[in-house]
Parts: sequence; C-alpha cells; structure tokens
Amino acid sequence: MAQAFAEILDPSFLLFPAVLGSIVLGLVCPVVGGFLVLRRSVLLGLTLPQFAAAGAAFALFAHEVGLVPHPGHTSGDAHQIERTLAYGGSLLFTFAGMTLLALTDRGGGGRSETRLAVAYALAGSLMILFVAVHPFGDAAILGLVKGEAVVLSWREFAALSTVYAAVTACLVVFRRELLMASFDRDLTFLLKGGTFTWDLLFHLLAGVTIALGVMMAGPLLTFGLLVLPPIAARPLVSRMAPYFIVSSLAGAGIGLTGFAVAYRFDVPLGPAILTLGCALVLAAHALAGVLSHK
Amino acid sequence: MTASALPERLLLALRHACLGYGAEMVLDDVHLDVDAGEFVGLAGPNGSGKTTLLRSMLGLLPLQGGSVERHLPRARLGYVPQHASLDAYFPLNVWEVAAMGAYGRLRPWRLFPPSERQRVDRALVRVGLVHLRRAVFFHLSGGQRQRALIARALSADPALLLLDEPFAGVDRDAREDIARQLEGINRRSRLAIVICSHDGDLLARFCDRVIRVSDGHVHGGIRESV
Repeated sequence: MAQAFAEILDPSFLLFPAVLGSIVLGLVCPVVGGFLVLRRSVLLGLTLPQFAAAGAAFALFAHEVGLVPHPGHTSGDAHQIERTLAYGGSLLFTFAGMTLLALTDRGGGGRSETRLAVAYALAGSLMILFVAVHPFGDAAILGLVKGEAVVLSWREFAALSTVYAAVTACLVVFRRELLMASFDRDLTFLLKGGTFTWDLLFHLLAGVTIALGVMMAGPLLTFGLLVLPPIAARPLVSRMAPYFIVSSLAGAGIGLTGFAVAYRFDVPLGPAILTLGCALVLAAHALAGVLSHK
Repeated sequence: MTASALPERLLLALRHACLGYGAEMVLDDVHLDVDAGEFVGLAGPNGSGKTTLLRSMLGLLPLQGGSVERHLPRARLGYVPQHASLDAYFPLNVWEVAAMGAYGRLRPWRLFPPSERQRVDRALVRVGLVHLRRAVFFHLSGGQRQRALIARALSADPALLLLDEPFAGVDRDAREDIARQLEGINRRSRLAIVICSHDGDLLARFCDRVIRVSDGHVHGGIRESV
C-alpha cells in the first residue's frame, strides 16, 4: 500500500489532479455535511446529489438532441462543452430540487422525510430516463454514478478548489449564525431577527458543494463524503470546532486512502472510499464505546 | 446597558390578546403587564397555555387578536427554553452554550472579543456553573442544564428574562436552588423575570406576583394598583 500512496502522490502521476480533487472533496464536503447531520437533514444530503446527477444527465441529453447548440469543432472542444453543460445542469437541478422542497414545505406537503423520499424517487427516475433516451449517455453517467473522479483535469481541479475555498470561508465566517440557527431557532429569532437568511445561506452553500461534488465524484460518493465523516467524528468530540476539524480530516483521509486502495487493487474509486468511510464510522463508535467504559 | 440601569417602567404589555395556533384558540382576552424589576410567576396546570403565553410575549408566536407592546428591543428579551427541547446530538460544552447569548452583539467575521468572554464567564459565575464550563452540556443533570441556559440568557444582557418551565425534569432540591438563584438575580440586578411553571406553590414563595393561567384565561395579569 505504501507503494500505491507514493505513486499516486507523485505530481507526475497521470491522475494526480483527481487525487488532489478527492482530498479537497474529502476536506470540504464533511463540513457542509456536518451541519446536515446536526440538523437531522441527512436525507437531504442523499436527495440533492440525486438531483444534481439528474441535472448532469439532462444536460448531456439536451446537448445530444440539439436543445443546446454544438459550437465545438474538435473532439476536445466537444468534451469540454459537455462537461460545462453537465456542471450547469447539475447546479440547475440542485437548486430546482431545493426550491421544490422549500415550496412543498411551505405548502404543508407532508412530513419532511416523505417529501424527501418522493423527491429522491423523482430525481433518481429522471436521471435513468435521461440516460435511457441518450444514445451515448450510458458510459458518462455510469462513471458519474460509480464515482469515477479520474477524469478531473487541472482546470477543473482549480475551479473546484476555488469554489470550495469560498464555501469554506463562508462557513467559517458565518459559523456562529449557522450553528445558532441549527441549534435553537427561537434564540436566532430573538438575537438575529429570524432564521430565513441563515437557512438560505446554508442551503446555497450546500447546493453549490453538492452540485460540484456530484460532477466530480457522483451522487453516492458525494453523499458518503457529506455524512460519513461527521457521523464518525461525532462520538469522539464534545465541542463544535473539533467536530468540524475531525470530520474534515477524516474526509480527506478516506478520500486519499480510498484512492490508493482503488489504484492498488484496481477497483472503482467511489465504493472504495465509501467502504473505508463506513469502516471509519464503525471504528469510531467502537472506540467511543471503549473510552466511555474506562 | 445593564438591567439595573433601566428606569422603573412598563416593559411589556398584552391587551385584549387572543393567543393560539392556527384555528385553535388557547387563551382569550389576555391582559398582562410586566414592569422593570418585577419577578412574575405564571402558574397553571399542564396544557393550560403558559408556554403559549410566554412565546407570544417573546414574539415567537403571532397574536390572533389584540396587541402586544414591547418597550425594549427584542434582543434584550432573554429566553430560557425547556432544556429537553434542545437536540442532544450537538457537541457543545457549557461555555459554548452560554456564549450563544452573546452572538446577537457580534458581527459574523469578528472573533469572540475578551469583553464578551468575560461577560459569558460572569454569567456562568452568577448561576454557579463556572467550574463546569468545559463539561459537555448534554452530560449535565437537568438542573445544571437549566442553569447553563439561564447563563446563556444572561449573556445576552437582557432587560427581561422569560423562563419556560425551568423546573421540568429537575429534582426538588435543584428546583429550590434554581428558584433561589433567580430570586437573587432579580433582587441584586433588578432584572425583570417571568417564569412559568405548574408548581404554583414554589412560584408563590419566590415571586412578587403570581398570575394564574387556567380555563383559557389569564387571572391577575395586571397589578391591582394599576
């Protein structure tokens, strides 16, 4: 395994941008997901990536059937245009999904988990339908669903890092407001005039994080990186700052280690990272159990 | 500005207030005054509408009729919810919970200034919890959690403190301790306090005035002299 780590961390490694991308994804997704876990909105973390994937599939479908123009002249241009469209579709569908959920929430559209279940079924179905009617979409979407982050270019890595750095900065700057709005909504009303602004900010940050994460790593891996590291960190910490720091480091750790495992044993990247994440959750809870008995 | 610097005056008043949730009316034609420096109890059986009344006074629940006058900024209403209403999954220690009271005065990008840290520490001293400042909030007993939430409300530098069933899930000795501490805070700093509880006897021993809430009405909401 040490050899695998040495090879993938060599800057001359062909997939080096994807290795760095996995680490960045592992660092930032758990911070956003940490709030989802605390707010008991884990199902939102499952549903929104599905919307993002459906958006990417829709963009590829729309491109193929000519709903959007084909300005590219070379195969490289065409690929770049498809990726850009898929990012746009991913963002569009993520925010459309969030808007749909918010509107049905306001309209009293049943319990939160039932709305999320219906939304998840809708997004998953849409993704499969768009792929089914797209003659060449299967391969691209299958890679997305499996969480194959290996196609990440330096340019995409730079974009991902820039956006995720901005998301992290916002989370750090507004950490107190986001915590208070998550923990005690009545107190937020009294001290800050309400929770709408902070809920909106959080959902915007979560939407951007998820949409980009899905384009890079697929819905399943994005969901796993959002929630598994915070769930693993929770029993080991008793304060907010360590909760987010441990979550973030655990996410980066399983991102890097999962990449090494996938490379060493030639298995799909997404499942490798998620299996490690689940193992980490079990280990953390076992460790917490042992520590609490001492 | 501290509570002791407030002039003797009306802080909050409800007039002909109708309170409830949607189509469900809980309390009708409520008249109630709270003056600066008062220690007021809201007594009544479970389900009588005490919490509804408290939430309406805070502005958390819109009135269905009548009016509420608040002669103080909303940020100077200190609120102590029932500790059981908070989610124990949050990894918070006592100091972090108490510090939330100061969030209203802090700009998002600012670090926690030393003056605010001292204010939070003083609030913990006032409720006798400073030695547990690093303890996990949800590992504390019910009475200690309630005191931590009182410290949080005090960190907001309130002019009026409103407590929702602070004795719920608290043993008898701890109830006496909490009531005595609140009485001490009220007497020393002249901070107005409204406390709701189904334990009318305890309220009668410590409060200046006990307002009864029962059968959809509020009895004794306005001082007799008024």
